[in-house]
Amino acid sequence: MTFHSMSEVDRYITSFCKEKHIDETTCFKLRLVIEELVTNMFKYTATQACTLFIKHTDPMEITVEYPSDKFDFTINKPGKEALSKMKEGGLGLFLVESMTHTFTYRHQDGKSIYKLTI
Amino acid sequence: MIEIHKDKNILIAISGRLDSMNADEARETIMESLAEVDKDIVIDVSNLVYISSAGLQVILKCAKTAREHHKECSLKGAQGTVREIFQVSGFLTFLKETE
Repeated sequence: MTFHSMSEVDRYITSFCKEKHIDETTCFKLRLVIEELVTNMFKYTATQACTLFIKHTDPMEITVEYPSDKFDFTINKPGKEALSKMKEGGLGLFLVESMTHTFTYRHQDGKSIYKLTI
Repeated sequence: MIEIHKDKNILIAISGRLDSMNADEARETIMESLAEVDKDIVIDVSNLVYISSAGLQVILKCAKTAREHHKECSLKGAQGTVREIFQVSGFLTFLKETE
C-alpha cells in the first residue's frame, strides 16, 4: 500500500494490529520501526510517498520502500556523550536495529528498500 | 497529553503517545514551562504508552535544559516497552530513575 503522510501510516498500523489481533508489544515495535523509517523519508528526502508491505508471519516481515538517492546507512550505537552528536535520524535507525530480528537496506532502481523482521 | 506541576520539583507528566506527530507541540509546551529552571526536573512517564525517537528528543531537550541550569533530570514510572526504549537508546545512562 502507498501512503502520503505519517498519520495515514499510523492509522493503517492501528487497523492492521486490530484486525490481526497482534499483541501490544509487537504492535508497539511494528509502529516504531515503521515510524522511524517513514519519518526519515519525509525529513531527509524530497519523496512524498512510501510503499509499505507487512506480512503477518512469524517473524513478521516488513518492507518499506520509496524513491530516493542512495542513503548513507551507518548506524552507531548512542552513548552518554554521543547522543547530542548523533547524525540526524541516527537515533531512529538505531532503535529500528534494536527492535528488529533482521534489518537490511539496499538501493535498487532508484529506490531505498528496507526489509525488516520483528 | 502533558501536565506540568511545580512544587518541590518540576514534574512533567507525559501520557499517551510521544512521537513524530506530536513531539513538536510537546517540546513547545514543555519548554515554555522551563523558561525558569530553579528546581530539579522529574519526567513522569508512568502513563506513557508509546515513544519513538522524536519523543526521545523531547526528553533529551529536558535533560539538557536541566543540565544547563545545574539541576538534575530524572525519569519516573518507565515500564514495559517504553522502558526498553529508554534503555536501548542509552537514555538510562544519564537519566536517573526515581520512584
